[in-house]
Amino acid sequence: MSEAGILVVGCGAVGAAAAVALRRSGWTGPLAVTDRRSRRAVAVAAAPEVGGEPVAWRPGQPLPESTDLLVTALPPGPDVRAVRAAIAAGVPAVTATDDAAALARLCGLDDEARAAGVPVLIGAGMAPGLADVLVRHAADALERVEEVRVARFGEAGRACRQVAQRARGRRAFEWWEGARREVTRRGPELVWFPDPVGARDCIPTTDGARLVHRAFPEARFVGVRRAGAPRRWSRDAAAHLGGVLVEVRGRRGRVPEVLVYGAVGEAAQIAGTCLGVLAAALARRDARLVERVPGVTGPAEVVRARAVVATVRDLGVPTLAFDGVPVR
Amino acid sequence: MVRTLRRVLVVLGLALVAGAIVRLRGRGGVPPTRGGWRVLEAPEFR
Repeated sequence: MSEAGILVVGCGAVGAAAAVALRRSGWTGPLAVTDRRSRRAVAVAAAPEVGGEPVAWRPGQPLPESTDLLVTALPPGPDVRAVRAAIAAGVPAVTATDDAAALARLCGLDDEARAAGVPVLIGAGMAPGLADVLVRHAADALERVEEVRVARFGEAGRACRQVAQRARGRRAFEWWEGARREVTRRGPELVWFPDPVGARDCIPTTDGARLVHRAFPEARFVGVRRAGAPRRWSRDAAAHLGGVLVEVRGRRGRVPEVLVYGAVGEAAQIAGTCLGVLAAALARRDARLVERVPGVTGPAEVVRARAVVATVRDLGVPTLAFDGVPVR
Repeated sequence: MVRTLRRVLVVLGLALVAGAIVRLRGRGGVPPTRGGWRVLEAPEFR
């Protein structure tokens, strides 16, 4: 890269979709891509809809000087190292990580990012990610948010599946009355996603709940559930169906309201599109979509939800609303 | 013979009951019978 541009780190399913979404969101500047498997970076860079440049860079190394924005679609460990490098270089970063431990570590970099005046947007994939945008969209229609429930189905790639499998074995936490509380009843609960995903058994997880709580500390309850990951990983993209569902309970005046939004599609497409749209907005300093706030933030804290919903729809990820009586 | 058959039936019955308890331990399970999904449309996306 000779002039300032965007560096996409990780060319798996989500990173590749994000590179395409960056271009389709109107980013015309330099776009560099990198991956630990250089052949994968070369292939993504050469795609006609990306038109990028493959570069050699590894998380933990100092960022290339010409980087103006870092976009990561990496497993949890390298993701945190990459964001640390971005903060050290004074470069804004957007990450798609959905692992609860990595998100907690990234939240721990808040003071460092604030001191450096660097915006770091974390959890910008599917859930957290588009789910948080939908929560914000629902909250914008309410005067008070009381309860937020998020559910997700599907994994976008191998790294994402590993996160899902780890989440199954970990303790899960929810936020009640502003306090973090362990979920003791970990039995599955049927969640009714839009078709073709339909009804799925979901178990509680901490992944993403922290970011929703940060955005809505006044909410009486914040909880996230996710469906189990497939035992075997298939290369067939059509098999990687994904879906998110958010249920926001609150009040408009004295009237209680429940808003239920969702999205379904190919999981990598949903996550990559959200990541690309938010990254392009941050790179272009487009305050109509994303507020550029120094420090570590989640999507629900900084997005202009309606504009983001419109943009992802234009890029092939329609969002849905449930009209009727949601059942829990 | 009859006694063995009775024992087998009792065991099968207990297994069915145990399986049903394990399967139904989770919450939810009632489909949203009223309403449906619609795509959010411009300009409000509500």
